[in-house]
Amino acid sequence: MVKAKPSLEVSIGPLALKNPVITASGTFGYGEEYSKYFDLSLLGGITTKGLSLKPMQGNPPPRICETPSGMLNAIGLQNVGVDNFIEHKLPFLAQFDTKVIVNIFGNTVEEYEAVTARLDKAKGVHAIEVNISCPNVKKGGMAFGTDLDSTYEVIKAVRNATSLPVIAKLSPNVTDVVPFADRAAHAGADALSLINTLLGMAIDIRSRKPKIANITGGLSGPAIKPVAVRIIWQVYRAVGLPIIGMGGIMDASDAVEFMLAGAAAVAAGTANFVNPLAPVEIIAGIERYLIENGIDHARHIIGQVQA
Amino acid sequence: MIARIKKNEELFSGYFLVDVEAEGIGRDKTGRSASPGQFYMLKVGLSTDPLLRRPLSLHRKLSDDSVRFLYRQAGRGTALLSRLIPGDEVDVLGPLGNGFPIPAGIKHALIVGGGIGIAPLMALADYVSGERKDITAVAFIGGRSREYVLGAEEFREKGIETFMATEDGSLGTMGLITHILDEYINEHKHKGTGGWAIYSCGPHPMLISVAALAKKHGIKNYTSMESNMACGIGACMGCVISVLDREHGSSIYKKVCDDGPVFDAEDVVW
Repeated sequence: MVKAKPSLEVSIGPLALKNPVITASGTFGYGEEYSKYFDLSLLGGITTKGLSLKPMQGNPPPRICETPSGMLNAIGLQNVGVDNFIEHKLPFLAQFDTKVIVNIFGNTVEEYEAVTARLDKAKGVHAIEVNISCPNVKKGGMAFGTDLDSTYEVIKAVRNATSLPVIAKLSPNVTDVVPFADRAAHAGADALSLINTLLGMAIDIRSRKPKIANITGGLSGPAIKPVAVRIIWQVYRAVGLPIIGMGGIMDASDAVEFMLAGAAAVAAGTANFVNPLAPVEIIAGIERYLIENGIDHARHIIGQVQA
Repeated sequence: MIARIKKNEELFSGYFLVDVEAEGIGRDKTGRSASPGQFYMLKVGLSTDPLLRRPLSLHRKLSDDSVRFLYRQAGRGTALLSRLIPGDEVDVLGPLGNGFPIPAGIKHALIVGGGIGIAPLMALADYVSGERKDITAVAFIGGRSREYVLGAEEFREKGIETFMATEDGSLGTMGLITHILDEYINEHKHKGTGGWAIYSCGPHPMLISVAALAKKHGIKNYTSMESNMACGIGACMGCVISVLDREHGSSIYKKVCDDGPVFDAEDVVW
């Protein structure tokens, strides 16, 4: 008997995805580079590089270094600014049959609000991911994401400025993420992205200098995967919001593991740097896993770890 | 793409030549031939450690299905590469980046390399001596000592006049190759330097000196830059260097991988 193909459709709150695989913010530019490697319409969604009200130059180099099974980065949120994005980058993304999730950040609550208001009116934006967890900028970013009241305030402001789905991207650089997830939920977030990078550091022992100019940076890649799985599992059990899981996902096995821990969708991040085809290979691999295990719907594995 | 090692030989301590074969490896995704100054991202094995690909400049395009790299074993990634034997697989992405520009009117190419910096310049020498007979090339190759003066014989075999310098005097002139370059320009500039271009790759201090010389003599200098890279295709923004934004008179960050790796040396904020 020939079995029907399993359904890969999942929902991130009000955001319906044709499959659970998204690209993580900051690892996929605005899609143009990767469109040379595969049809972006294959993706469940694309999360863009973080946008601010005004363009940002980012941090001085060196910005990245490799670490055991991972990498440190301190790009510093270099970006073209929200207006340039709407005018020049969004039309390109809008031609693909995929969900465009726009990642935003600001130095103040008002800036988050202003960026959101601009995107709310733009055609082709399907959701807003609020970055309150970048470890590499002095103001904003993680300063909001490591304070409970600020987390609430920023998410609330964004919530009030748009009718689009709001996704809060939380920081793992706190003792317990659950209270932050809870605050984001109360402020009106529709979903959570877990996790952003872990704050790290590496030193060149010959020059005795930090390997990146920012001194500290965000650790990503397989090295952080168990931390991500743990946090997703903790938050999934405690808070009712759908989770986009990310943090070292390199292949379909990793993606399934994240979904079993509680992620409703997954994002490939650092994997894109190593293998531009990683997201499409992950989609195919998830489908294969479902077929091999006789599961007819991807959403049936969400949170199904037998713990 | 998955490519196969054809040959992987140590030239001398820690310096290797590797020939890699795969169908179409000598052309990019649009079918354009890999050009001098472009690079490839290589990954050895399936392990996540080391995680990232390693950028290697095109050293020689042997055919549409075969390319050669010259590399120095610097870390774990290149150490793994150095252990591959003929028949082994390596995952290759590329060719990537912009390559050396040869604007219309260039008649005389001054090729300046230091140590491993000769890697992309060999491809340029191949191209100029093979397909651009209207351009005369002259090479200036420097190194710490004689072992580090790479590629000089191949340059001469192509009929390219080649000057050498070593810091210890073990080969060619004792001293820095940039002094030889300066002397050469001083000797020949009376014939006019219109149509001249300097192509450089090597240690950072050498590139700075070459850029300064080029500026002093009013000659264009195209320089191949290096940086830590994660993706190699323009997405991660990790490999930026400071470059002059002529329009606004300020400096901006440009990506070595896809804005470069070759830059107009006058624009680079050294």
